[in-house]
Amino acid sequence: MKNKYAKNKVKENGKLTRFIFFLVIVVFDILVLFPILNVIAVSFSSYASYSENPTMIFPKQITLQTYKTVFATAKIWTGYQTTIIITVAGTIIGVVLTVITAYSLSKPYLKGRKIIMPLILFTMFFNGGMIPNYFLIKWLNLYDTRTALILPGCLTAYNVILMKNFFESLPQSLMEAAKIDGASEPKVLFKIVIPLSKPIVSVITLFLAVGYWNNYFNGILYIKTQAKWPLQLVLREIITAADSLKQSTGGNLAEAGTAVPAIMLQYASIVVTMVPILCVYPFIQKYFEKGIMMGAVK
Amino acid sequence: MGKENPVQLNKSSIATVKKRKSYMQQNIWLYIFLIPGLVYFIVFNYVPLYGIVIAFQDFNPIAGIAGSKFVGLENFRLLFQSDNFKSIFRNSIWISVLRLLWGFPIPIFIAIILNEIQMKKFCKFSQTVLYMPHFISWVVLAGIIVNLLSPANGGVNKFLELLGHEPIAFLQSEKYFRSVLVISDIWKEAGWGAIVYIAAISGIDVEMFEAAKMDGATVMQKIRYITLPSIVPTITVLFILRLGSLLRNGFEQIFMLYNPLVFKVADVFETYTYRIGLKQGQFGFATAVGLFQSVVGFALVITTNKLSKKYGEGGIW
Amino acid sequence: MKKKFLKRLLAVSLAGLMTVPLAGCGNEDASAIPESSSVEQSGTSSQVSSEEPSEDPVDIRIFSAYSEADEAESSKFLVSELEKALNINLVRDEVPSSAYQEKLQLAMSDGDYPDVFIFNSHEDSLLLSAIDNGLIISIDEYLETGNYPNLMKYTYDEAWEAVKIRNDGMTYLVPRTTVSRVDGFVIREDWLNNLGIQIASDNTSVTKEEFLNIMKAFCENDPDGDGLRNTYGIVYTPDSSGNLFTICDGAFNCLGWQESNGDYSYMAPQYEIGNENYLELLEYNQQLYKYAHPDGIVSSDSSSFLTAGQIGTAISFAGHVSNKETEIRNVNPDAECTYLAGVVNDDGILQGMLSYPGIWGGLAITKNCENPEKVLEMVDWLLSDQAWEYALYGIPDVTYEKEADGTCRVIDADLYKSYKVNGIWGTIIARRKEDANFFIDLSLPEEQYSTIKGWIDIAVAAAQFERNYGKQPAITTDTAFIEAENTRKEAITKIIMGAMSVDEYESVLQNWYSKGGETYIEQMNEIILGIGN
Repeated sequence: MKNKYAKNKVKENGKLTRFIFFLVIVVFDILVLFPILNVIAVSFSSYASYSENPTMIFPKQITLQTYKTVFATAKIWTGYQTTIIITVAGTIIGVVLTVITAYSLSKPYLKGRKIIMPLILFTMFFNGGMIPNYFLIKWLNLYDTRTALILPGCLTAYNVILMKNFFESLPQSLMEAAKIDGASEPKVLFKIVIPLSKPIVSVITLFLAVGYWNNYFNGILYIKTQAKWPLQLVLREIITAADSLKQSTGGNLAEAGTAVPAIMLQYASIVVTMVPILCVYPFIQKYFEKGIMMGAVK
Repeated sequence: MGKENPVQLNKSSIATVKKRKSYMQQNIWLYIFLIPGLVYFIVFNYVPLYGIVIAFQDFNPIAGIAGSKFVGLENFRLLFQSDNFKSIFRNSIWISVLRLLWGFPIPIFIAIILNEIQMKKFCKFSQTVLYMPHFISWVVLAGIIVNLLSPANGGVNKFLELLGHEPIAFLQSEKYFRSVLVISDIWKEAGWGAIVYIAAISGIDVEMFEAAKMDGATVMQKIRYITLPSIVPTITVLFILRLGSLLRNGFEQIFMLYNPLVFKVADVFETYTYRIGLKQGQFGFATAVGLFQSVVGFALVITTNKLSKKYGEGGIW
Repeated sequence: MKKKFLKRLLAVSLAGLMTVPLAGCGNEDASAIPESSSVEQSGTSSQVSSEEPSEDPVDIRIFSAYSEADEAESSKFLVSELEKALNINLVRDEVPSSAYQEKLQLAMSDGDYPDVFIFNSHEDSLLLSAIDNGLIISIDEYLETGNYPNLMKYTYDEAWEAVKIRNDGMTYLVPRTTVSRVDGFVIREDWLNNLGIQIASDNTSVTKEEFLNIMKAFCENDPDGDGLRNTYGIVYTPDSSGNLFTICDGAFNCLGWQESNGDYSYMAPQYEIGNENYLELLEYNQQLYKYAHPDGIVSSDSSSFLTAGQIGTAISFAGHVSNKETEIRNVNPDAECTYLAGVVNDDGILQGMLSYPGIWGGLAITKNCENPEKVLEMVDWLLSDQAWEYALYGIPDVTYEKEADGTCRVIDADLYKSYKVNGIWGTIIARRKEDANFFIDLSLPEEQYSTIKGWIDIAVAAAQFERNYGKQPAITTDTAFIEAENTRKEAITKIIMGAMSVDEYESVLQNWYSKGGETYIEQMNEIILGIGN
């Protein structure tokens, strides 16, 4: 390594480069902030001001009407409840399954790996579709249960591959040393590998959690009782109902009293969905901070 | 598991038996760990796989899979012989390639840059802000884009007018539509895509950076010799997997933005199937199209993986 | 989590990912024989079989978009009256309307059939399959032996033809009547005044030239007086296939499938090569498009153009005009709206084409149903005077009062409106063919009410049914034909937008003929000739 850097006659402290990087990110931030601020602004504005200026960044004629409409229905609360339950359960189960599966598959000496890997990869591409999945859940007696929203999707080939890939980059010597000292495989996994794998575990946790949080389709397929509808399905239903409402009243808010057009509800839905994630994200984020691996290998 | 072999009294076979026993005993846990996952995949992924047969049927939901007529490759024939197949195939690949070319590197770029900036709070803030568009649905984002690009009074055209240009109807022009698709896709997904790379980078031993710093490495050199090489395995895997989606494009995005004037450059499998299939309940046809996309994708991944391993870049397995 | 394949496949294999409302009140129609706002007293009471109160109520299970938590009081009231009157116990599956088609598909594939499925379109391919697989029974025998006076009275004759879906003479659907009318336009009266444009005072129709000139003036003459070139005449928004469609068809005598003097007994102008009327219609729309807002083709929220004051005209049901005015006033308090019934043809006649003879899907009775007569009774009762009164006005002595002479008067306007807005479940099942009252806010003062009623009457009188009653030939499920039809519609879109010339339509049509179009026309003729036999 010394050779490469020897070319530097002057000791550069990187301030300029870093500053340019900073500017680039600032530009990206601004570009990206625009739709975000727009969504937030519209969700707090009246439909009239939205019609006038749909690309607003600051709310005009500030009103909580849209949010009131969203939260007025009882099913929004059961929606949150269901989604929180399945997200927590599904993420935990999913992470555990992914970790142990990926761990085994990350051992290059594992016999059968060459067969199992393609088989798992295969599941990423081929699927039977809506109707067989529906019947499967029925056969398993899971129809109209929250379990039906938890199990499908908790283990995916993509996550397994990502995690396995990460495990493979860990120093094998560490694990061998532990084994020589008499540690069993589970001990190696839990005491050594996982603490070293915080970044990937948190990413997979994030992916799983967000996947559950955003999912509505399984709700359509597997759930009958309205009280068990996931949040996203409830939101979609509210929006569709508003649309039908608009058709029958000709889009007039006044006659409909407190009704809000579907398009406004779309905006509010995004915020309603995103806020909990924003609250949880920082806890996950700290696991892939720079320097999390400082001296970890030691 | 191989323990049944009669023990033959010669050195090598004793050694072999010992080794076999040893392998299993040594690694029994690995297989135990695998069982739940494999059971899961079998139950939730392989069992429903019989649904693929729908692609070969004239399917209707009431007769079900058992009762629907088998038509062999008819659905595929319809697809390949359609007047529009060439253009749909071309669009699907081309738009996907564009998104790959432009969209794949940017998250990596963002992750690397963020790693170098030393203002922790700013980095955390940016990271969060950058991924937020991932949660904005295409229904809403498309509306924003339509407004921005409106030839009537959209921001972009107002800006163009200031420069003395005539307003352009971007979404109705074959020339610009794909660019709009690609740029908006990056806008929405780059931040989210960066997360994996940020995590990967955070896994790099900080001491390597310290050492390089002491040796006088510049920022760019650090990136070139430490950061990048450390995440190359991640990049490779993600790239290969991405290739598996070569024939796939997001339905919602294109559906919300496209119109007959740009079908020629924007119609992809998903949207085409929607217009043909859904309203008439052409389940078989829709499934066949999906199957075609999957087969090609899967083949691509297997091939690229082999190539990648051959050239020493590692692969999925 | 990337279940990419599943997500894509499902997105591809299902409609309704967008929040495009399914049919909804898309065929909201109101036809009216001029009536006062009172309910008829001609005493057509429906059949009631509650003579033996000791009998157990019959269960009727219905699959329809329904949510118990969202049901309004007046709807609950009507349903409980229904159950009492007919001694039935109504079991309604809770189906999300945002996923109705998917749920319908699943229910059909599952074998767990309710007694009744509600279909939003009588052309639904699922419905056709269901009939072919023996899942749906025909109701002719019940219609013949039973006594359903209201059902007969308040359903269009033509509707009974339309529900003979399989063209085998059997009736498979209880038609869900809706009122047939041709919608006109809501138009910014203040803009007209600012520009000094007069629409003929006696009524509300204009000639083709007048309409075009109005659109032009809206676009070019700054009708909102703000000094900016930011207004347009109208907006063209796409239909569910993403294509634009022509407006003012009736003004060019394009009324869909009608008798023809050409090679075929029946023909529709859009399918006839060299049809002058149709080519002129295309040309006209092309000209109109120049004055239309350019974003319509990609917009997902078409009403915001009108609300924001960017366009001066939009197609609208007469009953909604005052609603729209209120809406626009939130942005611009000086706005005034009125109703423009439409564009007349060269003979001064206002007419428009209706594809569906007053129905909006219907009720399909499954083979699982043990009491099909009860289902028919239910529909019949919902159309009876008593039930209809509840449907129109709400709950007696709560939202309305009934005078001694039989007329009804709304007494609690706010409550009435809030109930009306959520909809009454019964009207999802049945509506009277001639009753525009269903769509009008009955708490309005008399003068406003008559104006609106008058407009609606015009819209109803202008309606001309297509002769095929919405029936489609078998070839419409053929993929090659679907493609050709899509291509034809795309061509129309491009012509309207000016990206293709009207002359090119002929070659498009010839391509259409060669890809199954000819068979389509032949099959359609067979169908029409077979109607009524």
